[in-house]
Amino acid sequence: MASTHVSSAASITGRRRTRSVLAPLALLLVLGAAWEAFARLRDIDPIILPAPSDVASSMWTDRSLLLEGLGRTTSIVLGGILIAAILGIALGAALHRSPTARRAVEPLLVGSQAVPIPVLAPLLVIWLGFGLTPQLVLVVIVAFFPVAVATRDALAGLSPETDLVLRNLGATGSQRLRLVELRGALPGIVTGLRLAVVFAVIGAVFADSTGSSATTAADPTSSGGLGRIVQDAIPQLATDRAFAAIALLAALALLLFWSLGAAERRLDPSPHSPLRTP
Amino acid sequence: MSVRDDIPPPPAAKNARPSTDGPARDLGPTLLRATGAAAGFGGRDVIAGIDLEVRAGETVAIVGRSGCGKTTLLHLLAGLTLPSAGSIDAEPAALMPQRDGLMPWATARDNAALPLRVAGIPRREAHRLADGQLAALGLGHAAGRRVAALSGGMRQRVALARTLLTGRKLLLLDEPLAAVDALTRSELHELLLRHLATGGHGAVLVTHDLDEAVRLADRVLVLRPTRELPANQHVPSTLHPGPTLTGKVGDRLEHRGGDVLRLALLTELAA
Amino acid sequence: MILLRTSSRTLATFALCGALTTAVASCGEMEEPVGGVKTRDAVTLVLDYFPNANHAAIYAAQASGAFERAGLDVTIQPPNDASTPLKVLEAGQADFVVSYEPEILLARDKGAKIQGVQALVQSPLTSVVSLPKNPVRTAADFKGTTIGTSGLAYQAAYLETILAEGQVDPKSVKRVDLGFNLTQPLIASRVDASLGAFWNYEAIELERQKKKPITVKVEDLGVPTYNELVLTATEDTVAKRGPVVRRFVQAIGFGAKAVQENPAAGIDPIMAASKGLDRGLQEASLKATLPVMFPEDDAHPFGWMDTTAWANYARWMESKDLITNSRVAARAITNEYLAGEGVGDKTDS
Repeated sequence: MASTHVSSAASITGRRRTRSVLAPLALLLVLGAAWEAFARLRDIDPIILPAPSDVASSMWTDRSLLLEGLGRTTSIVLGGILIAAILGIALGAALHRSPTARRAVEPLLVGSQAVPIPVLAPLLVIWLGFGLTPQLVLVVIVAFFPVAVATRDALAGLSPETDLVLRNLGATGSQRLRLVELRGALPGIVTGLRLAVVFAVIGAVFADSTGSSATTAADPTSSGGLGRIVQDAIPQLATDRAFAAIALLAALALLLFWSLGAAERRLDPSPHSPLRTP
Repeated sequence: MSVRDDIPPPPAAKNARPSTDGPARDLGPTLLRATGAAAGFGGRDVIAGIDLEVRAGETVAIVGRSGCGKTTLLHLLAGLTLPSAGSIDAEPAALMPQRDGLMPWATARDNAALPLRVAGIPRREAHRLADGQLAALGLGHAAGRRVAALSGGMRQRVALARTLLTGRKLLLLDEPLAAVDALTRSELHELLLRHLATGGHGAVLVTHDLDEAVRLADRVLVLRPTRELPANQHVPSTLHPGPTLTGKVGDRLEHRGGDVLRLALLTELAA
Repeated sequence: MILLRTSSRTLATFALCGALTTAVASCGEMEEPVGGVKTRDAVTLVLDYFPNANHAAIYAAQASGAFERAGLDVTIQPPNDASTPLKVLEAGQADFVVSYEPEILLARDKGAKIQGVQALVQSPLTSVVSLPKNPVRTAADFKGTTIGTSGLAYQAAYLETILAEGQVDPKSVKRVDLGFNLTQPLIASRVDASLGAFWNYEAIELERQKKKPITVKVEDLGVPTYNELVLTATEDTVAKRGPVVRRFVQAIGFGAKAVQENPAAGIDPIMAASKGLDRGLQEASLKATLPVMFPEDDAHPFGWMDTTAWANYARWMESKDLITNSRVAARAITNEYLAGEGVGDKTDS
């Protein structure tokens, strides 16, 4: 009995993973087919609601524009996430270390998240000028909060007995951080990052549609990200292109979310995973 | 509170070591001396009037009800809490907390090596030493396994390895075998006996398991309030000497002597 | 035309004054090329909206090198948000912005020290757009309709004025705020007509999409005429960097002429600057806009702003409680820097 259990462990995981990819894909296909049927049968104007086939054809026709936009938005998201991760982890660790700081800083932090992004975005441009800076700042603002909270909670969740051992050994704060806390809090931090990437994509869309690059005599071409593409497409009644850009944004967010989920699983296989020895 | 006099001393049990009555066998230097120490929190002492001396080579067991301050006592002896009265004079102690304190995401090796890493020993060397200690405790094959995947008994051994790797002579063990099933427990008893004896450690072992106390320790002390707790009044616990063992360290004490001792201890606790 | 009737002596004086002024103006700003590279003045311009055919003159000026020749290094920046170019101007993040006459007057009424220096189009572009299923052609047609606007206060005021002109009871008309997306709700019949779309942009796209829109310009419905797009700077810039303003504005004037002769001169750089644009739409838009880009009176240069019309519009704004004092129009604009202007005394405009 024991040997069958061990040898099928890998196939159980494999099967589970395939299921978790096939199921949403299947659902997507069903919904897409229904949408297409609805749009065609009711003869809906593609300017109002493009059918999936319209969106797909725009993805092909406008592929170079969309790819360029995707590239720009992705780089803002990744750049912003990187900074947000560093800031968020540092802040979370600081809040964990000092309960007084936490009581003072936390309400301000929560308040900062309540400012609506569409209001914040133009304000940042007024304060910081045009270009990449206000875009990155916007993404960092929306993304660092979940990371900070997740870090703080993860650190707080570490076993108090380990804490006793560390105190007994006379470990310094930095030793504690290096040897125990960072590695132990990592799964929780990654959970926070998963949320953060989704917020970052949303933030990047707003940031981007509000701050495209300029043209000069030396550089007469400018480019924007996917948010800009959506904004441009609407008054030109190119709703299919707008949807195509939105679909790409959704795909970006999903990809980042899933890959972090995979990282999270690698860091900390769940106790119920068949890889665990009984 | 005294042992019954009409019971004859028990015959030597099978696995017994040569006994020594009278003057104790060779004990090393004093590792810990507590004099009239008290500790607590929130302005209230949980324990008071603690007098205790532990020398290298001996194991002292402390038994008591849950909640009477055993953990506070260990923290006091470890220097994690300052005494509110009296004094503690002790070498640095290695504390093994009640729920092993292991990092579940890390390997047995990482966990065991923690004291070495804190002491500044580079990782490779620390791991090598940890592997050695784990092997001595029968875990050589599992050194690279994550603790989360280990059984309760194996985890206790990892925790013990970590405790021994501190290099400290004074060991403070808080209910080390509480979370382990009965069968594994007796295996671990053997292990503990072997290592405590050979290492020349002085150990304070807190336990609620009387058999364990009797089996592992040279002396048993009881931690309880000195008098009955009147309603609504708080009386801190103190150490009371347990009855003198009539058996020998390591005896299974299956015979009447052991029963008498056990009975006596139970009477102590109930008092 | 004026020049032909003047005597040759006046002509010579005129030319001499002009040359002197230019020389004096240039001295302070540029180093004369002595075989080396000229240092250029850096100028940041923030547009009112994403690059489109309305900006043809500006982009043509950049692409044709007119800015360069004027000694300017111009950065053209699309806006961060359609409602904040003036805030950006006041914050000092831009030297010039493209704004709208009503916005300029509103800001000046609140004390902002800004000035319009060049009109990019002479007439309003805002229009009322409807579709054949519910055509709205005259003021009277508004009765019983649902009208979508962008939510701007002055658009609501336009609607009031139009209704008054057509003697329509305001209670029979419903106004909804559509934000900046005025076209899709119209197609979806959520509104009977939109007020705020530009007749040279959204309406043209509707035509290209074969929707057969009915487009009526707001000034044909009783709203006083105004300049839809105006190049704006702070009073400070105008006072302290006058020569830069002049060179900038006049270079744009060159761009406008270039576009008039060859629309591609403007379309090509716009397409490069904003890759999501549809070239067909931009060309059609520019073609429709050219007639209103230049003042009707040939005597006036490109960018000319009519002070009487501004005063009239400001009075209308005051009557609608949009501004407190119509005299803010008095110093709201200056034509001084346009081509051929500013010779002699500063005009009191």
